[in-house]
Amino acid sequence: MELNIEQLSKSYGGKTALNGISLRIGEGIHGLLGPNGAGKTTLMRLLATLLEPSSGNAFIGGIPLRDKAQIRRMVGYLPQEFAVYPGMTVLEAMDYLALLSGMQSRAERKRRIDALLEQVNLTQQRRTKVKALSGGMKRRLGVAQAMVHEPQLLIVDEPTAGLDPEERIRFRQLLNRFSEGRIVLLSTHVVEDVESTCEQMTVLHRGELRYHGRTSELTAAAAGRIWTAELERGQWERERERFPVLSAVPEGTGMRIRILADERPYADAQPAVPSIEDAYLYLMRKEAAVR
Amino acid sequence: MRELIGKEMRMTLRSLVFYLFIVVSCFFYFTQYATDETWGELGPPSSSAPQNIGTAEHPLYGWRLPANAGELAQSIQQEMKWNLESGTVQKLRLGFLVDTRLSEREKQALSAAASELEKVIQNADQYTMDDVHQITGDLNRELGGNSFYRIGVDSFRINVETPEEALAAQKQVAADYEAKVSAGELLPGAARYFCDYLSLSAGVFPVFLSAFLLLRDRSSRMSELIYSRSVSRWAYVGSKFIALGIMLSIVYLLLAVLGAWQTVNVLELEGQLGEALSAFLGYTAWWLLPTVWASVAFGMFGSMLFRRGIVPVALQLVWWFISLLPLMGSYDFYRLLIRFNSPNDYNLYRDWADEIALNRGFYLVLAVLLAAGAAWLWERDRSRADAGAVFRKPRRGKKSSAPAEAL
Repeated sequence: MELNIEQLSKSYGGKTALNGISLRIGEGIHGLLGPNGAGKTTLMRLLATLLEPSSGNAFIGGIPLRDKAQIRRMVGYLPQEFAVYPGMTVLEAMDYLALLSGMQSRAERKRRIDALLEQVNLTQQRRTKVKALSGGMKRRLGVAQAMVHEPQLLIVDEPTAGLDPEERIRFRQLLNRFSEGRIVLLSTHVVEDVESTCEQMTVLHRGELRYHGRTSELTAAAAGRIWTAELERGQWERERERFPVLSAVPEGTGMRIRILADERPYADAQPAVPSIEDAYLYLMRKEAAVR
Repeated sequence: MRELIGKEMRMTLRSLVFYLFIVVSCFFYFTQYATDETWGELGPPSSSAPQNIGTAEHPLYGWRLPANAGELAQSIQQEMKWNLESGTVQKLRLGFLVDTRLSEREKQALSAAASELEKVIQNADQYTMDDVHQITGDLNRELGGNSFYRIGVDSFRINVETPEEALAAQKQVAADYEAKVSAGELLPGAARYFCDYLSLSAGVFPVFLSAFLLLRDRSSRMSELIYSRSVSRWAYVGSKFIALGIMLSIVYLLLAVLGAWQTVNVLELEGQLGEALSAFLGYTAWWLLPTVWASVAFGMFGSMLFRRGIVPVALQLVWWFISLLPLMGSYDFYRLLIRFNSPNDYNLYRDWADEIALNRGFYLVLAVLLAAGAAWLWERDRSRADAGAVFRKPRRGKKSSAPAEAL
């Protein structure tokens, strides 16, 4: 199973949302990272057949995007704004969406829905109306409905938004289990989600590809550019505009800061091991500087 | 698809508008059909002593319908003379009768028709009432097809000016009623009357449900979720169309059962419930339901075409309004409703049966075509998230937690 994207572009009027993206994504969870307007949602909508590409193509398991009927059978999609008809219960929503996904056998639907609700910890809420669910529960239901027909490619847009840390961890485990033999495309703003679940990741910025590769290797780009230092509060106030600050934690009368700089910014600044988040921010910062 | 239809039907049961539709349909039933006036028209005629409701100088004992070709011709000819004197004729304009000035050509047509009627008056026994209708039908076409002389616009009643005449009229009405009952035409006539009144609600209220049926996906923010599923356009739109059509049809069929039962009960037609049910259900299925299904399909198609529910509602209101008049005799393809506002006039019905059948057949085909069109338009939107207003745009001012933006 492979997702192969070839020179995929999408323009809205005169504005290019995605510009000639080429990617090859194998089985497992693949992170899609980028700021607002990077083209993540456009890419996901293209893969979910909700948009027509302006040019280029993509193949899911060798099936071209234009073969929409077949692609829709292979894709599960959780949009960023997940909602169902008001008044539907969790069970009714799952059953209705499973039916729309072509699951004709009632027994099969029941078996699959029961198992999924158990996995997303919504069994107790099966008779609860969706509008009465908390934000976190809705996200869990959203993922469950996307998985219900066991798609080969699961596309999830911001699945952990609004989840508490415990739910977020459960969520990652769920995606991990589901990704065996499948592709999960996880779009998120939360770098930690990518760091802890994705072996591979893609960074988009303004519709263009900025990074595509192993998650662990993204940090290499920022190596030697992350520094920590302790500054007096007065000095901190004066210096804060000089370097991009990644974090600032008050410590006694001073501040412990983590900054991005090509060279040692202060004599007593210490080099730090970059995290994925540092590396991502470095990538975005570099992009901004180039422009 | 059967399961999908079942689910859609259950969803319809949760719609407040559906219950409002039931209330409105019942309201029409109880205020238009199941009234004392209807029972009076359907029941045996009364035989009370004639009373003068006019003045001593101009006595009036009521009105009666022309009994033969001569009387009908005389009544219509009188109307023609008034038209020629005033130089105007009434024509239907957007459902209203409006005085319109006669052109020279129209005056000549009126004069010619009046002369034709004079021949009928002079030799009444050689003509039938259908011959008179033929003359007025031809005149109506000369006047543009929407004049006062169109059959069904007016019944050309005759003043009854003496008690003897009134008694004779009563006898005639009683004889006509007996003949109708003997011919087994009482209940079918009642069923047609029922359909005529209920078509007033069937021609407009279904669109309030159907015009928002597919748009509900957008308002519920479910469009993306549904568009990305493998369900075919025919199964998705078709199941909604069939489910709503069935639910609304059930309402009318139940009202038909109620109408049959109440008619038999009020008219004390013992042992005729079976016959009544057959007539009411039959006419409802053939006269009312094509209107209901066409309205459902039109609402769905219009909402997909204009991406607004209010547009098909407004268009349907116009369509309904221009279909209201005349009360009988006009079954052109643009007429959404079958108007036959009489429990009698079987002869007229028999003459128009083919036109009515064509009209109903047309609307059944139209319903299917519009539903198919709605499915086609739905599919068009399916891969056009950029077509505007298909998906919700992100809320303005929504904060992003993107680390890059924090820099």
